Amino acid sequence: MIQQKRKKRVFPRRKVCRFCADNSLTIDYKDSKTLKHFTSERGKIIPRRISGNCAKHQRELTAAIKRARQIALLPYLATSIQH
Amino acid sequence: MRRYELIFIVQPDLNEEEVKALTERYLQIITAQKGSIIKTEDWGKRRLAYDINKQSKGNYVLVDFYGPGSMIREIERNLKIDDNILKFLTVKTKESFNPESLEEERKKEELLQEVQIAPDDSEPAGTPHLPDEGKDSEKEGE
Repeated sequence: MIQQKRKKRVFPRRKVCRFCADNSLTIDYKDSKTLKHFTSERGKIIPRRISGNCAKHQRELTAAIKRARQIALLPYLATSIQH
Repeated sequence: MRRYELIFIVQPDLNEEEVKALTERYLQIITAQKGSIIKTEDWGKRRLAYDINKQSKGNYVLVDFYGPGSMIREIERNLKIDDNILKFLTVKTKESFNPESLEEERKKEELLQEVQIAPDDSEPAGTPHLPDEGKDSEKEGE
């Protein structure tokens, strides 16, 4: 039943990759504010099927987020919601 | 020549001058290893996303430089020894870097700034909104 319900849910519009739509947006591991939009409250990377990013940019993004984590700009895991 | 970016986090209990002196030391190590510095940025004290060595804050310093790849080992060795460095990260930004291209980059940046400033006085009424202008100037810069 639950599965059926989920299947029925229709998403109204196809999301476009934000980085493709706006050329001025760049992916940089130092820019933690932008990267934060693509992580969940827990600090996990949001999957492509939800964020709507294209494969190319999602690849760049994950690399950038992982780098940012290394240098403590982003958390590996957030236990409580900060800020 | 390769272009690199180095970020290191300094202990939060050091004051600004001490951080500067420390940065200076590492810049010297880079130049001693036949590297050249393009720019340094001091981000000041920032909250860390997670504790490092029981510290929740740290001074971030960014160094943009280029040089032979062999120098990285020496720089990182020194960073590892230093107790004042909480963590560091070196990122290669360009595989083959030509120092002459720096000049061009600077010119482009200047051009970009001029373009961004210029529309203000030459803008007739009812011209495109600000975001569009931002995009246009980016394209010209490329």
